[in-house]
Amino acid sequence: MKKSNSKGTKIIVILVAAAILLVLPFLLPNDYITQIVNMIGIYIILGTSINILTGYTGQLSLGQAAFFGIGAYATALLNTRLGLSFIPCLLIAMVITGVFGLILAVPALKVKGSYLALLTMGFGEVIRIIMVNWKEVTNGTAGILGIEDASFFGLVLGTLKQYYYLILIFVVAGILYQRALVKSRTGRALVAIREDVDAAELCGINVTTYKIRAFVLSAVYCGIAGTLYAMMIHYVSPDTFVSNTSSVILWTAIVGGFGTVVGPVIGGVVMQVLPEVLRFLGSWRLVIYGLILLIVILCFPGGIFPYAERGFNRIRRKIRPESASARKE
Amino acid sequence: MLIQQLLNGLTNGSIYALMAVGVTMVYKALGMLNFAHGDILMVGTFICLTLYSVGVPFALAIILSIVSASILGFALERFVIRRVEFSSFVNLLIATVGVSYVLRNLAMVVWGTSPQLFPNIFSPTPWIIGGFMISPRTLGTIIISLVIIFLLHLFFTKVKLGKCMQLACSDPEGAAMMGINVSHMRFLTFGISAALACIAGILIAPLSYARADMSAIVGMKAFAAAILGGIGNLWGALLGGVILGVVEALGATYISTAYKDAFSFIILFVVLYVKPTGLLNKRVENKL
Repeated sequence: MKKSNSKGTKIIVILVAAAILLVLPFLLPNDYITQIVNMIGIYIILGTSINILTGYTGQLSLGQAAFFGIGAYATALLNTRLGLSFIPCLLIAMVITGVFGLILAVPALKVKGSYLALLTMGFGEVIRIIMVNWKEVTNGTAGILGIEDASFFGLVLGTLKQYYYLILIFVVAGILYQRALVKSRTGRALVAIREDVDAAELCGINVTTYKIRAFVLSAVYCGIAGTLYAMMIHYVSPDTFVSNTSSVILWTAIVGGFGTVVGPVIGGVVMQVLPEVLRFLGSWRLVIYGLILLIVILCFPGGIFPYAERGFNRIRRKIRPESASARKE
Repeated sequence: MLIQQLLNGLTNGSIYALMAVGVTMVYKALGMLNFAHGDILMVGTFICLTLYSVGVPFALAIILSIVSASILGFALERFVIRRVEFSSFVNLLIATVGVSYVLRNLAMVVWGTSPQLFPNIFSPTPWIIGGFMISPRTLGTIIISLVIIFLLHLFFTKVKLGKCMQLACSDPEGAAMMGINVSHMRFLTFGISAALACIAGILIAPLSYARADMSAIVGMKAFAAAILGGIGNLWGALLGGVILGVVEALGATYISTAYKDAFSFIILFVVLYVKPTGLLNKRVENKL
């Protein structure tokens, strides 16, 4: 009885959330805010990507911006040079980022901890240096202009509101896939690797394969985000894919709650809304932004979500007995 | 030409070695790389430049900036590291990344994003010795770096305080039982590491300019040098720095200048893949 009741509330919550998400673009007053909402979506995908790699598998990465950049540049080049449309661009970008994920996984298997963080950071820096210097292909610091609007099945997306729905599909699909993954055997294997590599190996988990899969999957998520970004902004340049971006992606997963399904969603909202709220500070904006995040990490080491959940449960426990006794009367 | 490039490589290499020594000290104390190391270097360099440009004598400006960099190192240990130390490794590492983010953006606000000229410590006119041109900068930088590393070696092996610091880093529990205040020692380690970073910054800035975005590249070169030589090892840091500097100089001359900064990372990848413990370390550390 009680279980079906909580299931019923769950369905209602999901339906309400879906309704809000579907009508949201019509409530947004202008393109500027729609753009921010779309960026939240892209960062939720990026946050999910690092959540799988670091949150669940425990492989710290400081080079996620490189995969994001590879996906965006692949799409930009395929679209402007070969004239490919959205779906082929997306698929090829996913394959390319996946291959790069595999390439990084090979040396990454040998190291852990801060060495791994450094390795991924170095990977990000090498990719950025290539973006800046391989002028024949990447057009150097000027970047690539003139990426066409996303089009598929005869449909051409023109406005940011239409991009909102495209991004929403990928965000929902990405989160649902992550949720299914976490609940599967693979997800449990990944958590086992995070908690204790040796014990996981003793339990018969093939650590090498699972680590490689986590790297490739995480890279593919970034590739998707890169394609969406390139098609929405119509422009890519190396300035977007710097180590600061990698830090922001990492924080997106951490601030919400590392190793939780909703963590990247909370993180995506906080990380994208906070700098806009702080805009009144002018050039000091990013300093204060960094300080706030640092304080959040120092005060809530596990992210906001676990603390919020605990607080929520405490409130519910306080309310429950009263409502239960009220019903009895 | 070749000898000239080798000398350039040695000069930069000895600066990388100074940074790598600082990295290595903190790694020993914490079991972790301090990702704000490059940013402390950058802030220290800018403080020196600012003091000099408001009319403080250069020597005094250098001393004051080294002092303020150490204070920054102390503050990092006291207010950030000590708070998250016991939560988890990931939090510890992310906290240093956060400090790095704040310092870098702070520097961009205070000092701007464009590269700024840094005064030369040594006279720019080269000496000619036996047909070779040796600039005072080359010789001065190498000598200063070597002397500092040698003094540190003496400090850690001969002076009581240094020995206590070594012990506190390698075996905190044992050290605590011997009556050594481990957290004081760690505090000191961060201060010395930051001071070394500042000296390295002042030595490298006349050539590379003082710029807010120097921290990422320079910091990662310091890590690369420390890992190359074998982390936790003073002489390893020196060797790693010199190899890195020379490879970079030769690579820039004979392969490509544009990709100069990429060489150090490629070396890093190779070392991490082939011998993650570095050149001079034999023992495999489980905290790797």
